[in-house]
Amino acid sequence: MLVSSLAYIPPDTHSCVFRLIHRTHPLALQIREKEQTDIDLMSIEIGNLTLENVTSLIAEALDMDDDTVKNLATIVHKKTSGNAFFVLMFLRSLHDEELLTYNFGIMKWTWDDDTVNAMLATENVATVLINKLKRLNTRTQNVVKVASCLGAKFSLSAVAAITDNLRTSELRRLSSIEQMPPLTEDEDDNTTSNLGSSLHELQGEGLWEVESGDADICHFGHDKIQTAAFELIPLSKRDTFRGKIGNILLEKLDPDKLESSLFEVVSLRNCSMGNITDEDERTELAKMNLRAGMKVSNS
Amino acid sequence: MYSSDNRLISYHKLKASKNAAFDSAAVYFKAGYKLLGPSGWGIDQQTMLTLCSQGANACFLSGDLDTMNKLLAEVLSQDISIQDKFVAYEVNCLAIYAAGDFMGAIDTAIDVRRQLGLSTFKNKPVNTLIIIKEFIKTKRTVGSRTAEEIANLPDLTDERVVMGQRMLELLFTSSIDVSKNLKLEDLCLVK
Repeated sequence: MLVSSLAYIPPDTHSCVFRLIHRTHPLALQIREKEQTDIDLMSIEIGNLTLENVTSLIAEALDMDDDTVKNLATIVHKKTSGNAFFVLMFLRSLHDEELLTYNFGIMKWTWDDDTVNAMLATENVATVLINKLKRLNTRTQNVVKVASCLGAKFSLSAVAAITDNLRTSELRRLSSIEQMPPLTEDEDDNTTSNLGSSLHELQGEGLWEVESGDADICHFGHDKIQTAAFELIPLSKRDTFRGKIGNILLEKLDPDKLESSLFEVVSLRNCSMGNITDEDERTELAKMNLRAGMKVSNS
Repeated sequence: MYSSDNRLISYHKLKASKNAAFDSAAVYFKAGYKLLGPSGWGIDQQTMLTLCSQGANACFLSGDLDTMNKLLAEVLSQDISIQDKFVAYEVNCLAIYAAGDFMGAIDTAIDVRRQLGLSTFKNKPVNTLIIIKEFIKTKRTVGSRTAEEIANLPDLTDERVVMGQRMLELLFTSSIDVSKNLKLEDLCLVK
């Protein structure tokens, strides 16, 4: 509604649109398009939160006054530099680790400043995110690992196709020759409906968002989440894992989709090129690289 | 400055603006080359040739000159036709020109034209009489045709001549850099 309204803003109108949206959001795209026309759009960038902002935010969230949460707010602000996304992540993390709990006896949120301080002293944003992802169930972790290999923005159908294929014979074969550990603890449990619940869980945790214009496209809530998810894959297995994902995409994508995802598929397959011994397969991948190179040169 | 020189500079500016794209392209070409390996020429000659030639071009434009030289050497050492080697020669010529060795670029371009079987003068000073003679000859060939008429001439279809013309363009630009005093008539020396 807002997007379509924006399309009809007359040139002399003074309108104010608050945006706290991702750069790929349709509204962001519409705004960028409008910036090319004669409509005078002023963009006000919102910086990081100040200590006062963080204090107010936490006080509001915990239904307490500013003075009570001041120490907690100071610790959180120090670790997050006031990045709103990370402030929320830290608070959720404290709750997940039961360092911030709701005491039903006194009907208040409680925490211990020293414990929180000690925990946060050893953790940075990256480790908080990794720990958060590790608390997800194994199936959901696998979904997020797969997605992290596909990029900051990815197709849910591609994730589904990959997880479906990794759970069956391919996965079993890989596990049996010990090239890669099983991605799922219980393969039979990894059904499409369970994939849906994983996606729901990830969305609920604010780890990724579905594009409003296309329900099949998702993006990570922050690039550090993608990095953290990727780091869940053991270093020694990453290239094999990405190569396997590339092979599945090659097999499953229809020709049009494959052409539009050519760079991603080739890059993924290249990760494990050292493991390819079959001459035909090497030649076929070399030809794909040639196609990708020509495509990007002519773009 | 001559129009063809401007055109070449514009061409390079355009290519420079696309350097980021060539960085990515180089990654794919190098990966393909690595996959086929030294025996690639025996496995799939056409793929290997394109990977090496286009890879050399992408490496040149992205500044990876070591890999460019390696890929060029691969192509130029093969027992294949001059037409097949043309892209590699063109990149080689541009790289020599970009390094400031204008005389080297002229020698290379003349050599390529010779290999293509196109008549080309020797790279040595000529006297003014020859310049005037070639100028008159060219003027007669052009006759009373206007610039528009010349521009509307049918496109060249002979691949060999097209390649020769591309070398001529490089040759011309290098010649200007060798001697800033060259006049348009000098171009007439190259038939």
